[in-house]
Amino acid sequence: MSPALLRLLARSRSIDRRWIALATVLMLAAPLIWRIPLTMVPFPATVKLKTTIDAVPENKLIIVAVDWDSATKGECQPLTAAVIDYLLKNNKKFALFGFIPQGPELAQRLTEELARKYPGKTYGKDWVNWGYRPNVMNTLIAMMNDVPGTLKTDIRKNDLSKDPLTQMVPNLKEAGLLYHVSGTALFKSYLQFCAGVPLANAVTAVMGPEQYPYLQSGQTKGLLVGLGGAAQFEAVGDFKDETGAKGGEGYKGMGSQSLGHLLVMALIVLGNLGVWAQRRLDETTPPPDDEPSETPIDDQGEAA
Amino acid sequence: MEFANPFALIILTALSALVLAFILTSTGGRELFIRRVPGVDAIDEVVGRAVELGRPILFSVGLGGIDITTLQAITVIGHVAKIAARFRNRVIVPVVDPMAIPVIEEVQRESYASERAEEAFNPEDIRFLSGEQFAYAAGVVGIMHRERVGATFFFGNFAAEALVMAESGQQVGAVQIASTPDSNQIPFFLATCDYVIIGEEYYAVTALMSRDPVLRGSLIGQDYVKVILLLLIVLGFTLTTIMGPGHFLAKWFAGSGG
Amino acid sequence: MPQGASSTPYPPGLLQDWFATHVFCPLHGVAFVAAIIATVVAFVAILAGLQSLGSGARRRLTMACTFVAGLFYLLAFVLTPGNKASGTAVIGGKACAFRADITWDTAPDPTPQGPPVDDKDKPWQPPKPKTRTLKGAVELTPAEKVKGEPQPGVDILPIEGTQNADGTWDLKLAVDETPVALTRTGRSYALAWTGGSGTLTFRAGIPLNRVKGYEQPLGTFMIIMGGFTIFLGLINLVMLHGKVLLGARRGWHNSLAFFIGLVGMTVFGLWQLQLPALEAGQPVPLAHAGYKLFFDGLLKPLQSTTFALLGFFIVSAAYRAFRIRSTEAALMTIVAFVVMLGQVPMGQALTAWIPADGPFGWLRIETITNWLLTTPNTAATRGILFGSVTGGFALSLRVWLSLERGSYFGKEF
Repeated sequence: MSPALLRLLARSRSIDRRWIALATVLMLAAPLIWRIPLTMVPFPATVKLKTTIDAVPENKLIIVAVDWDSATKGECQPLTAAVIDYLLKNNKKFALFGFIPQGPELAQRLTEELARKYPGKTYGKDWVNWGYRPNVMNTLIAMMNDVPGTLKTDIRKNDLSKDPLTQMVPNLKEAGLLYHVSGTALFKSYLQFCAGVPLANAVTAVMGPEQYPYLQSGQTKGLLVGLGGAAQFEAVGDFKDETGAKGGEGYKGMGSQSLGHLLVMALIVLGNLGVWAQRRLDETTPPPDDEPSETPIDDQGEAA
Repeated sequence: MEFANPFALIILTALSALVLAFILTSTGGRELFIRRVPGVDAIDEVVGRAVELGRPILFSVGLGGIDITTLQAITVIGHVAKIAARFRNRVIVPVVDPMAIPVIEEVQRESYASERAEEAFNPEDIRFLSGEQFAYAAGVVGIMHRERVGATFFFGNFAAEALVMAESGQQVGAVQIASTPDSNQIPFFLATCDYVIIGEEYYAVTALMSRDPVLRGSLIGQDYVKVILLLLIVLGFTLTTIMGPGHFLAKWFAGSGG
Repeated sequence: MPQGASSTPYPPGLLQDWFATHVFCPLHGVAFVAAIIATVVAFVAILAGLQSLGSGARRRLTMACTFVAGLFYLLAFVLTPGNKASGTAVIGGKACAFRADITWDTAPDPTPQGPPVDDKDKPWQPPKPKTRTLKGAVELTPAEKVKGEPQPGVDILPIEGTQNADGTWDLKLAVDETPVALTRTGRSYALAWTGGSGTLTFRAGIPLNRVKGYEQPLGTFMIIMGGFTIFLGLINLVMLHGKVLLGARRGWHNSLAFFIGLVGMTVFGLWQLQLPALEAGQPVPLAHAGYKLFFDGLLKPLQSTTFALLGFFIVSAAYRAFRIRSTEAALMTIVAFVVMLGQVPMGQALTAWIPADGPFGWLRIETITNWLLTTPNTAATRGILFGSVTGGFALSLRVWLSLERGSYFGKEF
């Protein structure tokens, strides 16, 4: 390889982070403007979640615990929307609930929006919102024995002891499924205090790897990870968007995510090529006799 | 699990006894070997580097309140502050939980006093930023850039904000040590920090920094606890495989999960 | 469950009912003012007492408090709640097993059905004593020996009961519409129903756990105490930013933004709480508009923006960190590439031509990704978790028994 090409390649081991940021913006934004038709293959954990939801009998309530806020909305909202949409479509009754103040409020807006797609779906008949509660440990322990007595009222101040949906779950053990969505480690509290309750969960991508032990042990009956998890659930749930195209909110993000992953890989390859080219240059160009040989230092302050 | 079943009761007693027995053995004068962890060895060096650069140190205790994880981080703050005080350097500690402010202030004050450097201690360096995760992260990033910190320590429980803070530290050229018992953030810390102390090493930091027999004994006891737990796992799956999940012994083991 | 009723699988704490009736009850008028003054005086006295103690004595007091608090939670976990009853029944010469769960229940609230009544509008009533109730069943024949599902009333006899003040139990069969009371002789009960007759002997668990009941009120107390610490944080922030602003130091505009945010959020947040909920078409009052501006217009987008920074930082951190310098690093990079490709449709499309059900289906990239995540990743994560948990356990033990070192624990190392 010519020294000029090697020198050019060597420069790629320390690309200015502003160029990286610009490339990231372009790669993530392009598929939002020009939509790429894509097909998502679901993981077994996603299929398992769908099977678990399908198996919940009609007289059992599903609890959707929404422990997220606007910070993690980008991932948690599609993860919540995919399951809520599926519950509405399949006439499953559910309750919204959370230990993070914004969670139940954001989920309520989302549910109201999704319910418009299905005529006749109304608050109080198809879903109830128990709202935000503080004190995870005490609340969960108390709910294990008595749900309406612990929560007392919903977000509209209705008495839960008279609410027909809440009456379906006198204590948490009677729930058909508890689906937990979060970007926090709160799922561990559910595992700790809700023994005997069928649990499933969805997490942001960074939290994903730590959830797999619970999937293998059967402590979670289904797992969705990140925006890809939402897209996978939309694939198994046979979702269609307003234009009739495959998928929903998760699917829409898959083009950006695909290009984002490809960008990361391309940059890793470039960085390593740069290191290799620099090494070749060092080998082919002997150091001057009067100067000691040095390990080249890139502009990140790192020995290459 | 709301109440201990007989299995949990036995295991809790046995494991506590084991840790306490090794603490007693160690305080009895017996020298117990523990391996070195590079991240722990580097703590003094990293503080020294910030001193050389003439820049302050930033110590983040993460998102936890006053719990076991944060208490361990606070112990490390005491040690870092003591070395920093020797050279009249500052240790800035931004916190998420206001309850931690008086505790950290007290620990830092004592550390500076022990080095007769009371004048170098500024209580305003212990700052409550916000109880919100990303508002806290934005605040920490701001401090890093404004103060041009020379060294950063991330000790405690972290979530997605870890990368935002650690990458910013990298940008200002700080030498960074991260330590967390949580496995989620380890990859991000590995990509951005100079030293990473992972998993159980987090709880071994104080034992490794000192030659205190109580801490060393506890660490060895903790290793034997793990050996026992591993043996129980092997026994559990052997019983289940040979006798089937319906056998009363297999059920007894399974029942311990609550 | 009826309104006001509550059920727990553990007994009320020692003297808990007495405290609930005589101490933690609403006060009015002079009694209320006197209680406030007494509390403040007691608080000041405790603070003064603590201040007058030497550092050694204060440390010993902290050690004692830590130990008692730890002991409380340990006892709440290990002491038996006595919420199980078991025994035997003999029916037609056959011995059958009897098992039951015991709960402590309050009687349902007799409030008539109607629109919800706000708690503050109801006069305070002392809490009703809890009744110890039992629900269980006698299995006439072991269920596995019966073909098909066991039939209630034929193979299973549901039994319910309540405990009397003298410790004896009133039991009844709950098979039919009309419950049948069981006749007690000592510890034995005569079973008699249309399907047969027999005797039942049972023993209920001894409720040793008289501390668990305090766990929930203590948790609430901790939340309230924790709520006050926000003032500590506020004082810290106001002092810091106040000095910057008043001294017109560098970055004073950031401190001004802090004060605008603090005052705006506090004023509009509290103001809008006082107003009734908005209805569609109604003009939006200033309080709601202001709150919306600060909460929906500023806080939420700022949170999302900071989280979105992760996208840029992940790319630049991965670019810098994944340098192949060894075989292990090469292996790690290959695995990272496979996992990244296997999670997105463009990556999955690379191996989509391999039939999923065919003999080479395992070569599909999403199958390999799934295996990497569910097998090697699970093993590694479990290893780290085990280590962390045992480390946390040992540290907890050291803190509880005041064996920990460090300046906070008063023992330098």
